[in-house]
Amino acid sequence: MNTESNAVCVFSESRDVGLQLLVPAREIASAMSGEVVFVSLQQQDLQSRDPIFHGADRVLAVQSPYLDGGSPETFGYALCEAIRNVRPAVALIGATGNGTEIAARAAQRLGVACATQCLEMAVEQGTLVVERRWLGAFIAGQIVRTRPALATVPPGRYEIPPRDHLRGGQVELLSVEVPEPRTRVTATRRRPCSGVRLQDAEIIVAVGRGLRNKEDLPLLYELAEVLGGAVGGTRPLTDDFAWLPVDLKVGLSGHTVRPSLYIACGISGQIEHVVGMRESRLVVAIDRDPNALILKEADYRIVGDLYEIVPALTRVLKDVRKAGAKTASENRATSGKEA
Amino acid sequence: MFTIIVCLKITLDTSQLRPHGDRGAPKLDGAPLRVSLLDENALELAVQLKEEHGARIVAVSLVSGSAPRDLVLKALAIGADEVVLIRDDTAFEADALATTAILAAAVRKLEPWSLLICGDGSSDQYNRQVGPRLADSLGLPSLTLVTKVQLAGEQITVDRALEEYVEVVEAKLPVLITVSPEINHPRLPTVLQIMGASRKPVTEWDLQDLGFPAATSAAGLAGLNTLKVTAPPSERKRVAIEGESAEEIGRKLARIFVQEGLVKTT
Repeated sequence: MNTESNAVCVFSESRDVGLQLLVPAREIASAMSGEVVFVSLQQQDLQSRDPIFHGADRVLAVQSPYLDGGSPETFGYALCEAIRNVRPAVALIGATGNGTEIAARAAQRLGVACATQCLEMAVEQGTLVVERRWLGAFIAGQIVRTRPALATVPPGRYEIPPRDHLRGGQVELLSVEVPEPRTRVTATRRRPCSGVRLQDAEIIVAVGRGLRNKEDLPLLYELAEVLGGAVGGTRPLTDDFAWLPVDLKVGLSGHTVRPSLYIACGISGQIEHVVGMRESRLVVAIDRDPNALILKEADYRIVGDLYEIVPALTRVLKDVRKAGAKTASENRATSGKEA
Repeated sequence: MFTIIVCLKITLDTSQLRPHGDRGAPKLDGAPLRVSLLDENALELAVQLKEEHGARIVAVSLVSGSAPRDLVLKALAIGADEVVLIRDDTAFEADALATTAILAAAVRKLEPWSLLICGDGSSDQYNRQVGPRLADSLGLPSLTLVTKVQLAGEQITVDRALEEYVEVVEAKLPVLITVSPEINHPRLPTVLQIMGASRKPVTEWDLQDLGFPAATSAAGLAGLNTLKVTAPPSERKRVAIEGESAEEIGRKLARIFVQEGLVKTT
């Protein structure tokens, strides 16, 4: 068997997320003078050299008949075998819905800890140290004492490193025995989707649990419309109540957005949400609770009821735009240049 | 008898925690406790299945010190038939590795059962690890992120809500499922149910009762240690916008938007 190495393993059920993870993997590997090993379990694209072109030192392509259409359990099994083969110091796993389950299964089989949804990762004296959300609105610095140190990373946290087709590296095959899946997918259907590319919006009107009914959503949509922006929501609104499509979710498990203006309406300010919006240029927060944590994250803070403030703001902005349009048309009339 | 085990985590009510100063860790002493949000959904599902198919529900919880009596009574009042508390003074320092080792030992001791239900993640740590780890440790299939459950004899069919798709998945009992919040709305117990709850059994075990060696603690089993807790940094201006009316606040905001070039007036 291999001896323990300073390698960093990377795995995600999503090809793109796997490639994103090459960014932190390279940083950690260079701090430990180790290699980056990309674990591929996708049977249809097993021997692709793509991960090498994006920064992996080698690809470990794991073969098993039950991985084609496998369950998170069988993927967890295979990932565990891949990690046993490489014996890395660190393994990074994409924190997608299934990826988190795969990571948990692999970690349990290996008998090690797993730090989930890490925001920051670093190696200090050979040990993985991470920052993670904690107790809702807080961040904990944590140390992973077990080896290998497993960590999951939210999708979209890093950009895929540029492709360099001159980079060299080996693709190695590893055949493993994986038990037959005990769960069977009999149907899939698409979740409702807005089709809006929230990460491209210049202005976002975001809403949280301060909204009392789904029927009140037009209040937010009207404000977004007059500003030429998009509506986004927190996890409770997209996931718990399903009042908004999932692709409008801002936060750790959704989009990270960087608009020019972010208007947070009735949002408490849990880390889950805040990490997704804190890079916005200008933030306005409206909340009834003067102690709401979102008010700390705002350039302009309004302690008030979104049901009063939002419609009033919409009315004022409509008037401003009307007045603006009138001034503009008068200007055009006096200059006489346009039809 | 069809037995359902529900794992309940008693956590700090994170919505009540505030930073000390600007960046400091929250004060945890005396902070209110609650049953983790999604574990309430897990218990609600168990009660619904009990109503539909008949079942005995055992709620299991790893607690530090003495569990708040009102939370235990509420679980029993809602429909748990028995609560098993595993007591360890370091429970708050348990990570998913430690929690799984302890819960797995307790759940084994409670055999036979047919269905294990957990919340998909806890409100304080939201690791989403304990469910699938517990399944692995007990040799069970797992179905995570469940939003709908149908039972027909030994066959279980669930909806799983992933990022872009909902999957319909089948498995055979025994199985472990973790629930997403959209699966149901947890009920509140009636006064009569609360009064009846105090007659139901509450069992207390420590780690030695579960076969762990004498010096074992939840903290000692953990592989993940917390070094420090901070509130996230923020360099926002935090200017308060006030006014006599919503209209006035709206006008002040609109002026800022125009100055910042965010509203085109031409």
